Amino acid sequence: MNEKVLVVGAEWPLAWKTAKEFKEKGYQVYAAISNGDCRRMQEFISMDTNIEISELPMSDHKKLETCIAELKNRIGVLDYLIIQEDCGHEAIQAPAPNDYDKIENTLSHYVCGVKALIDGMVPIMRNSLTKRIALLSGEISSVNLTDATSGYEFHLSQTALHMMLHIYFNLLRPEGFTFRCACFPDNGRTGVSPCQYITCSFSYDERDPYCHSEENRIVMRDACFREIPW
Amino acid sequence: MNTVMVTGADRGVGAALCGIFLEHGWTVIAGQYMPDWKQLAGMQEDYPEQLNTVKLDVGSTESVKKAFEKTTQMTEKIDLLINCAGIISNADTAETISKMFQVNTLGTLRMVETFQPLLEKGQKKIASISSEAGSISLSHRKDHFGYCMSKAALNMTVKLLYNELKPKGYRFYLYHPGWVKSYMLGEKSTTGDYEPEETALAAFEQFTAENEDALILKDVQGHYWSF
Repeated sequence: MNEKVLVVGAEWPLAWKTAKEFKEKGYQVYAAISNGDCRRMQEFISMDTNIEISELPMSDHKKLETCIAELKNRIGVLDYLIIQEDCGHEAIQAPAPNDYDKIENTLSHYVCGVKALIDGMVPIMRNSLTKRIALLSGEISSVNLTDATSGYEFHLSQTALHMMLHIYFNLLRPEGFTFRCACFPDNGRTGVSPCQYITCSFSYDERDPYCHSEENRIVMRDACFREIPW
Repeated sequence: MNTVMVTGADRGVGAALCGIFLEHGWTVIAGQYMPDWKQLAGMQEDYPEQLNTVKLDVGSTESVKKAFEKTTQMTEKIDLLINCAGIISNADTAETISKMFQVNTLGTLRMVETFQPLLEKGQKKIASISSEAGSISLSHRKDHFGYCMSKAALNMTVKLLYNELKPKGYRFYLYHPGWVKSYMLGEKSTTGDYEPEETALAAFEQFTAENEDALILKDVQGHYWSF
């Protein structure tokens, strides 16, 4: 198994768990800390998991550009790009009135950082047979389902990321890229794991009409494979 | 007399909304971003008692606060707040995306939170001009990341406000104005399906009617759009 996986946002438990599961299954795994938490990064390195740990600081676009370039050189051809960017999650109970500058800062730095990351990685995914981009998200990020009354920073950035993923789907699906959006809890006990969901193959036969293939639409699914409305 | 506040009222759909509400006897507080643009001044000549203007940049917290202070000197209540101010950029740089989030997304949040003392005393109606471009499930574009993300995030903003304020008696309207011959790119567009006045009339009819007991993105023809 030589397929290469880059998991970004490894500081989040689900992303790290996913990175480890890929490693256990024999993939070559790269994991990146995206919030600049150097202590966490050292902690991961000291775990000796054979996962290559690096930094992709989403909030520092200049440094991010350099880090992306370095990582691209190290990886060569990338098969899976997996992103979890739960920015603002720590402020999910923030009371009104909101700190608009903080929300804007999160939106522009983290969301634009993810865009820069995808734009940067797509060229090294084009030579892969898999070419799969996945977002680790959550049900509370669904405009339809959320019953939240606070946590604008988190909810708005997640919604923006969903839209971004859909636009990349429109843009890159014709080139053979495939997409996953997983709404999984951190410690789910039922259903498939994010790794299983991200790697599984969906019905796809090029001879069939486009609407006959799951790969030709983009949806959010939970661990029990239920479709979650956006 | 009913009072409506319209952001982005200088021209296009915002100005057309002001015109229609004035015609129907409402007091209009027009948030003015471009004082040099003369359309509102023309309306003021026709409706000197009904139309008030206030300087307003919804992308600036300071400006929204100042506008609130000034508005409290003009009226005791706002029955309907229409968040119409919006921008678009064909470029998707970090700077332009940030600006679109500031205006298209956070503008509505700033306005609702800051103007809530006046909204509390009125009919508690909040309308926001969204777009089909903000529908994630029906997204078809391969570009305009910033605009689409800002409108999707606007829908989420309104959903969170709806969750909080609906139990307090507020009603929300999310409106997709259709493809309007607007000024969004500076000059008035020569292409589009609707004149600003046409879509503003449909908006007026929706915003002044009782709406569904749910948050729904509805377009100029009354069709529903999924998020």
